[in-house]
Amino acid sequence: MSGPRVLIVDDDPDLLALMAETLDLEGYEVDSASNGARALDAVERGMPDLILLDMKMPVMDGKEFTRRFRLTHDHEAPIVVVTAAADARKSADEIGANGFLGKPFDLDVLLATVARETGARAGD
Amino acid sequence: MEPLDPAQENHADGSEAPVHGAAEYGSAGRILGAVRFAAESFLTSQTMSERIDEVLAELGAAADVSRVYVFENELAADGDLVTCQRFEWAAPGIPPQIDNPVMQRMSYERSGLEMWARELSQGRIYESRVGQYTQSERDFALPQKTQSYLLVPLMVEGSWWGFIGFDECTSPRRWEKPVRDALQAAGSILSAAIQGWNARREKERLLERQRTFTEAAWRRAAEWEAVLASIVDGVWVVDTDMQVTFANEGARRIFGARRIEDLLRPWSEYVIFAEIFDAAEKPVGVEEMPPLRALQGQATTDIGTQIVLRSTGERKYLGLSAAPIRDSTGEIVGAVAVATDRTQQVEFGRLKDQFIRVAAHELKTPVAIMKGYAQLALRVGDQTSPSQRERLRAIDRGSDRIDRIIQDLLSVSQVYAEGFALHFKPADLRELTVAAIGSLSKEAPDREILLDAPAAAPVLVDVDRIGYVLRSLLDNAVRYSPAGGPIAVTIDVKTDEGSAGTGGPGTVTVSIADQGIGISPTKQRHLFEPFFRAHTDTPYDYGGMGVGLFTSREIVRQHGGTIWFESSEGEGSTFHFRLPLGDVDERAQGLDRG
Repeated sequence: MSGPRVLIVDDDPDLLALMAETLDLEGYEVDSASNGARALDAVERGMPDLILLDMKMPVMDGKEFTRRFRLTHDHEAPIVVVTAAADARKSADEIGANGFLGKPFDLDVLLATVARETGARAGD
Repeated sequence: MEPLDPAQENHADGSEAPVHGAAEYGSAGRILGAVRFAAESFLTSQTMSERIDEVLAELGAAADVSRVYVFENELAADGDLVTCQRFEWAAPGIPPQIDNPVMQRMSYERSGLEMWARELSQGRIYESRVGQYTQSERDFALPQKTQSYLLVPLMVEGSWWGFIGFDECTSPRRWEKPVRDALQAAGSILSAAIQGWNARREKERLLERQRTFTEAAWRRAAEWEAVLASIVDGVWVVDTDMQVTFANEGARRIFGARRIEDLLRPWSEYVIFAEIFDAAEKPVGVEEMPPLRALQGQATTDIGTQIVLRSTGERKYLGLSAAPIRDSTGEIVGAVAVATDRTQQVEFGRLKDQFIRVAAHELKTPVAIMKGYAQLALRVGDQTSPSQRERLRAIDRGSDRIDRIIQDLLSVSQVYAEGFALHFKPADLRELTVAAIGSLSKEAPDREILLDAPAAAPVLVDVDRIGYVLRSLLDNAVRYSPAGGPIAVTIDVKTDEGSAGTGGPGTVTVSIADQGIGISPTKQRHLFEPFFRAHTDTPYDYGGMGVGLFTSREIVRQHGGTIWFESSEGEGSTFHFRLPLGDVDERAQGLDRG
């Protein structure tokens, strides 16, 4: 069985692996990218049901990714910002994201957020 | 020396005394010649002592007397009028009296010579001779062998200065009118001369004083100039037209001018050196600046000001102070302004904040990894042993502690930098409190926490920030009641009926009471200071940054509320915070006022 598709975008490989493993264990179909440019490629391979997006990344940051993604795909997939910024909520508001997670986070909260966002999507 | 004839002491009319007769007229002529000599001598003298001896000798010889002398009056400390012999000429063979101690500080009254004072002070000549002597005169004159004498008052600027006197020791001489007139002329000339010398001395003293003052003023000015040149702060003096009349080296440095002279221009022209802003970076007109306010009588201290130099684009942060300069009548004649360059401090502060932010940001990702993997291992490891699971939980808890420290650092940095950006939304304070108690129960499951609260307490708050306040207060309550007594949490809603528009529909107060160790009175007033830890170096030092209460107070304040406490050592502490109740209108206005 294949659950909702989640694209994880983060330049830290350990954190990326942690989130991927956690979601995989819960039955999500996980794709990952280490920066915004790769995430755009990933989106072309297949539109995810949710994007977990780090903000500060080399090559292309979260803000620029969001701008370009919205140009071609509008709001096709919800975006949840996962950030180490001092004010995670502000980062999310700045790009009009659907939600945010401040680092560090509890896995329970990560799973609840992902469930909520993908569930809402499924209900569209 | 003629023997004195006792019969002549009869004071009839003095006609028994020998008369010099027609010779007197010749004598008067000679005296007038001496007076002329005196006048010429005095004219060319700077002081009385310079030629007085010659003059007295000339007068003595011309008048054919035994002694000529000058006495000067003085007022003794006790108010007694005394007189002192200053100069004397004595004819050959006549004993001089200049060294006679009687002649120094001789009191008119105590010597019984009041009649001298009475006559002379009125500008009249006094004369006497052996047949007319009073007892006092005898006591005074006879030891000097004086048989006859005549005193001419010296009047200087209308006051009785002293007298010039003539003694005859060879006969009880009578002083005929021509001689008296001539001697009076001598007195007048001497009086006039004394007046001239006094005036000259007075003028010299004034000149000397003026020179001393001028020198002191110059020295003082030079000292100030050196002080002003060497201090780092910029100093300006402006006149009432706002023209800069003085600027120091510090002022030149601050505005990056080439020469100090370039700064001596109207204050309004300083915009050619730099753009000027207030602390909030809004442009400031020169008319709003401290120097002009000082001219209006208003002193200001350390007004935050920023300038951006036109020459280099360099930005400087200044503390500007100014005060009016007043003349002796209190009228404002200018203003002095002082600028302290705080650029380095401000930049260091920014660097510090930036450092904290970057460090905190960089720490968060590794902490997320540690925490996440510990939780993941707990999640998947069904066959993990209980001790292994406890180790994983310890990693999870340790990560939480690091995270809290990072949050604390960021909070303090935010409070100092620009305050928090608050995200207001409607919430139920009861629910937030229950959630905070819930998260605490995870860490201290055995602790009894009693909640006494109404069904709901609607507020408009930043949920995360108020959650932080609740957790900080609950954390402290648990930490500092190590004996484990119950913690009582009370929520008290007060609605003010009919007071719409006067501060909202009411307030809600949360109180958290423990039965712990309390806080000593000396430490209570520091409790809300950043990094203050009341229990440092006590057995109750449980670690932490000491910023929970500092940050909490800022959060509550920005919600329009207050925070306070009561505490007594050994009995426990109660912390309260009060927030305005959220009203329906505010909810409708949108969720985010931050």
